[in-house]
Amino acid sequence: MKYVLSFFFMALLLLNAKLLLAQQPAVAGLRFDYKKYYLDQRKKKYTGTDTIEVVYRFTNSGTQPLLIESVSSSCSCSVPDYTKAPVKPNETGYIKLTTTYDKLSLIKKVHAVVIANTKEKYYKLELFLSGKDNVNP
Amino acid sequence: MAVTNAIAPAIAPTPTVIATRVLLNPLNLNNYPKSVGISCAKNVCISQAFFATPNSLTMKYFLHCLFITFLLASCTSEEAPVTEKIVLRNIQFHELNIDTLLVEPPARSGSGFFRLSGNNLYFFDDIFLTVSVFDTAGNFVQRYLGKGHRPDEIEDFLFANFLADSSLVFLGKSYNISRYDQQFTAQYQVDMDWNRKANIQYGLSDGDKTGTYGYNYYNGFYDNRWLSVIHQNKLIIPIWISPGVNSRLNAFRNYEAYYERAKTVGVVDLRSGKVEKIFGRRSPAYKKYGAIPNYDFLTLDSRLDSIYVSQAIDSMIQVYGPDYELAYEFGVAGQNMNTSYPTAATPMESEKIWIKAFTDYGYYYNVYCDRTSAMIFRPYTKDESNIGGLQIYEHAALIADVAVPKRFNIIGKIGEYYYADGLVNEDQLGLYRFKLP
Repeated sequence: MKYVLSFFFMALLLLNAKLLLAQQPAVAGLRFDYKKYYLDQRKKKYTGTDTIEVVYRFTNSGTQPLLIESVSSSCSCSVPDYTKAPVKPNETGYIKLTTTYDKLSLIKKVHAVVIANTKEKYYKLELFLSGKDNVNP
Repeated sequence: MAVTNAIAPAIAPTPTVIATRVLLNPLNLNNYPKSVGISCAKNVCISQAFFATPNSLTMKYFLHCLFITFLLASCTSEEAPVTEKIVLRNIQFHELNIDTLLVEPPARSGSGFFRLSGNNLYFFDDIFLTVSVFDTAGNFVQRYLGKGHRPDEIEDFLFANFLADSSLVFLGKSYNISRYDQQFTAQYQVDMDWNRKANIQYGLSDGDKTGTYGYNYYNGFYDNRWLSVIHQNKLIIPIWISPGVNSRLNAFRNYEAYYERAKTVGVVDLRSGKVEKIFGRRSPAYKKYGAIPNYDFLTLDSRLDSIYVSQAIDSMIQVYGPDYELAYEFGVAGQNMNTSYPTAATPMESEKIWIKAFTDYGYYYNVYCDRTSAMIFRPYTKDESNIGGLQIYEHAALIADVAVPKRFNIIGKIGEYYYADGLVNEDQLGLYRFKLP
């Protein structure tokens, strides 16, 4: 009797889980490793027109292919590059912001707006000339 | 302090009428609160002193004649007209019970401002260029716009507001005007036309030329970038003279002349973008403080045909009539404001101190006219603390000056509740809400 009851209980649990999954729409998800980057001059000293390149890696945390529709920078001082092809679930892509030290020194920070085919749709990535502790994740 | 029998007029009497009151009934201040006499124009104050002192009839007659002559001369002069300055207190309460309504849009950048229209609350995210709609319980309803060129998108915006018919006006980063209908569909876009002449070097005597002016976007950290529309199709905007446009007349070079001659408000036709009119004058308080370009800003709002202007460092709120002439001023100084304003002689010096100038000192950063009542709200900063003040006026009388968080811009009323923008940062997004006791 105990085994019969356990079996029915497990079956019920599995059925609920399946129903729950079936109700959730299949969507793409965008999860960044980090969205803020602080230029750490302790690791490398930047001067003048030295190029600064920051790569923001992301993972598709959803169940559908993820598409980065556009990336636009807050200023013409920074040129974005990004994964153009659809990113499959659980796979990774990147967004790269490039600028020069003299330009970043002038404005102290740059941001880019990312538009993707996710529920949130909009994301902000930031690059700072310096941070409190110059700590990046 | 109780109010005496003073009622703020809708439009102040002309200079001639004010002088007549004094002439016929010298020293009759019974119709005004006592403090009005302090702010009167030179000719009126002089007359009061003359009537107080003479002993003989002959001397009195002579002085009457002298006064009349002087008055007539003054009235025909080119000086600024006398305006009433009203300082009234009728404190009815000392604190507000403020609720915080937190909201959560699908995505937020941590930057933007709130607006109110109908029974809904709107967050304008100026990084994502989206507008998220919430009900008064804070529930997310819908999201509009986003960056793009389609009719249901927008290229950029800095300022925005709803008009009375719930359509929208946006001011872009290039100070172009975009109009959207109630469904957030683009109607048209037009550039602001300042009638600036190419190859002209604007100079010291050009304070009356529209082309020497630009949009005065400067407004501290707590401004909610309000836009006010009057007569249904005219946008009223704060203006200033940039050193880049006029190297001789600006807040850095020849600042005294700038304070005296430069106008403060512009009227823009919403359809054509043309700046049709410039008017207004800076408070005399600016000259008293010297070169304080960081505080050369104002906020304004309108109600019916009147325009209310609050300058950063002046306790007076100026009221302009439908003819764009200064009708009267009213106001009381905020409490415990740090007014030891830092000075700056050049744009570079101003740039160096701008953060401290906006965080550590006291200034008035917004004015809001409730269109359903006689209430006027004016928040202000005091010092580096996180507490600011909110003045509430009914007609021209101060009925309360209460403590509020810094950044407390009244945006409207739904039912019994007034709503204020706001709690806007990367960690939290929300509005404040309160009822008047």
